[in-house]
Amino acid sequence: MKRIGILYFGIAVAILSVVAFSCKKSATPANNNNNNNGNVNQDSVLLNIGNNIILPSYQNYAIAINSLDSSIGDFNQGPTSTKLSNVQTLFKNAYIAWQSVSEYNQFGPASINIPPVSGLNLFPASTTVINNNISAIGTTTININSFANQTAKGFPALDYLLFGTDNVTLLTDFTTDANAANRKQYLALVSTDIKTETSATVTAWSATGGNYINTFITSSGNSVSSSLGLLLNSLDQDLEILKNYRLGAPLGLVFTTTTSPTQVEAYYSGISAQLALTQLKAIQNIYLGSGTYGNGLGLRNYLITSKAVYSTYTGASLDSTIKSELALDITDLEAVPDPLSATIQTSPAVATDAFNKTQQLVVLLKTDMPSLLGVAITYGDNDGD
Amino acid sequence: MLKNFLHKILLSFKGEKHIAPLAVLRMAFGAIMFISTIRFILKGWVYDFYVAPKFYFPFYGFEWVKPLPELAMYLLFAVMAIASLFILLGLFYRISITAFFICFVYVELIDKTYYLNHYYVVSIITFLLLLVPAHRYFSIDIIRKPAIKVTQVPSWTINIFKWQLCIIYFCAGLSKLNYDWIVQAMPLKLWLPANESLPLIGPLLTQTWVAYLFSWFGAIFDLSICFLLLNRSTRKVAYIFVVIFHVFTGWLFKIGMFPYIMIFITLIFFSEDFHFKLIRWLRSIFNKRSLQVEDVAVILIFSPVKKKMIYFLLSVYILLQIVLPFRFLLYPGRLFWTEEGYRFSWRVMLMEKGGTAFFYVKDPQTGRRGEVINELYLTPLQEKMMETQPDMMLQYAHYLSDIYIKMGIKHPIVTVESYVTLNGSSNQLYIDSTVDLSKEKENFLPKKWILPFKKN
Repeated sequence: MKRIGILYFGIAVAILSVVAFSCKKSATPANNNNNNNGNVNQDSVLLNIGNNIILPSYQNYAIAINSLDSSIGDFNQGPTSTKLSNVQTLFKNAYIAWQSVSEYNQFGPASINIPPVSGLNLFPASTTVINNNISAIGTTTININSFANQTAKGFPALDYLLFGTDNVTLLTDFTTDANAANRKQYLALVSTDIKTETSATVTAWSATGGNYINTFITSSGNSVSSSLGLLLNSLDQDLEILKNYRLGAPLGLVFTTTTSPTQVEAYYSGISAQLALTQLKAIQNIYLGSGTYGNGLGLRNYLITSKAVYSTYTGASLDSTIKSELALDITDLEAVPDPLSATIQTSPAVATDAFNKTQQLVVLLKTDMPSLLGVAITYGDNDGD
Repeated sequence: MLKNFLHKILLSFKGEKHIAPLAVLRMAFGAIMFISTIRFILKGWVYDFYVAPKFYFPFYGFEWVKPLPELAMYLLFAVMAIASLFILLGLFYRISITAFFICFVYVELIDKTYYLNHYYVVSIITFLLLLVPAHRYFSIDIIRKPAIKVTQVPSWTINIFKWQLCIIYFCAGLSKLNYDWIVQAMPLKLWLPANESLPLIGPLLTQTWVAYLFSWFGAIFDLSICFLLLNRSTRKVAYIFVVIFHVFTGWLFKIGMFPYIMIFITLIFFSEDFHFKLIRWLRSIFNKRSLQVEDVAVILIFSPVKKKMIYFLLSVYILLQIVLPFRFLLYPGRLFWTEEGYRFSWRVMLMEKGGTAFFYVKDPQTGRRGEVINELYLTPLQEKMMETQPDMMLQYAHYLSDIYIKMGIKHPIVTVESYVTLNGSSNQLYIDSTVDLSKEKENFLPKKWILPFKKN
């Protein structure tokens, strides 16, 4: 009997404490986090993001890179000003297309392939290294993927090679200059590297190649290795690049080794703001689920399904909060004229506004969203929170 | 009834018991630690956690604990793996358990980023295993030195483990008795639906009532399980519940080895007879003949000096175990928000907390102020943990101050604009963003610069 007594005592303590604690606070407004109805299957969100957004973006990007590479080949055959401006236009197109795939840099093929595709856009370019490499061609073999060359390759290198000075001088650099042959060779080297890395990544994603798209669509769940976890994590990092390196560092609002307006992405071609805007719109598309084949399910549908509330005071849902923050941020970025490096010097306030909005967006996407979705962005075991 | 209960507890520390449960515990613990250590190494965590970081977050008072060079860190883990095998075998037990204890606790003290309650359990169990003669039965040591073999040991050497497990479960249960957990079914209401894609039970997990069921069941389980395990008539059923509960949570959440450690250690609650039979069965696998040799009863008696020392150590330890989980009562504010007195209290999977922290460094001479890119100084895991824990933010702020002094700013002002969400609340400012954290000191006093939690 005594033993049973202990057992009852335990249960009684439990029940009493439960009752006591429950009574402590009387009924509060219903927490709207229940997930009773309107469920969206996780797989259908991944399916739409994968097939409607990711694959078309990569295909679009690969096409842009291929046209750029062949135009460079054509240019190198016999540089003319027409060919140069053709290359320049195609470079801008490719750089813009890149902004819609950089969101996937931190997982899957983009991060597994060696060298990782994210290394194609480490800006600002090191002009010293590039020029040294150009002079050295013929005497040594240039390994474009060595650590020393990490800021002498990819888009920032092309940006410098194709826009480093006015077009008349550029043309002579590629024709009559003493280093002209070397420069053409280096241009081809950088372009080929971009093309190789790009096609490796795009092939790995495609259904007919490595079929990572299938892995992506079927890895449901919420762990850090699930597609939702990977995508959200990668998206957040990409957004932080926008905040820290595309805006913060050139504005002098973020500490990096050197801080100056010349640190902007695409300094020479002067399309920095346009690139940043494209990137943010790509993030918005992933959130909303809009892609090549129209509107579908996006990240927001997870929030809608879980009826995530942002503020119980205003009744605002987290989805509407993020949606309007994205829209506001985009409006702010649209107000920033190119070239960004000049805008920062003449009217930094407009760019600072965009920076601040991006900061708020980072908080929403990095803190509120994963928390409310129960997405465990953990890198080890967990038990703390 | 309560008097009877206390009397029983006291009695349980007196008298003698058969040593079999201790030998089984030793083997079970050795085995699970071996697997755990190998898993840790294979996951690449030795490098990720103790080699890659530029900066570490030591515990208050243990700032002198620093990681060793890469090779030495790997050696240390190799020592732990070998020591745990030796513990399993009962070979050079005193040396192996001491080595394991020192290595394990040292590693845990390097960086609080990786603090987990299950590492704390392991540290404590290892400490207790240091004090008891777990190698004096069914071990290689008694083959080496037959004279040390005993069959009866003081009861406390076995009951102390039960006592520890009861503290763990009961405190875990008590900490679940809060408004969010019981009334809102938080954070399970957020965590369970995320497992929607699991086969069979997936769709159920999105139901609100399931979150309530799990929350309530979890609380009642934690509060009552030790009583059910102590009670002979409910023990078997209780252990089945232990296994189901831990396997299930292990399946739903990413909690690593914890469930398996608990499943193994709770075996100690079974009777001497059960463990004796288990060992007989193990013997029959290895050596049929040894079954015929009957154990000669030998009672282990501790020398009075040793006894006094051990009783003293145990009293200190028991006192700490009772006091530590409740020290949070001394701090103002909401425990889950401030986390003052949160660790070392058996609070497991209690809250969903996330944050983003923008640190700013200002040069008072030039007035120039800039945001710091945390990624440059911290690993992703360190950054994530730091962003919700004020004491870590303070350590990081001091580290930043040191860095910027080296970079030439004489008296850098370090502030943080930090946004945190707790159990589904919208993000809100966490730390007073005007306070220069480089001037704040770590101590046990309440941190005034933590802003109060506003429910919204």
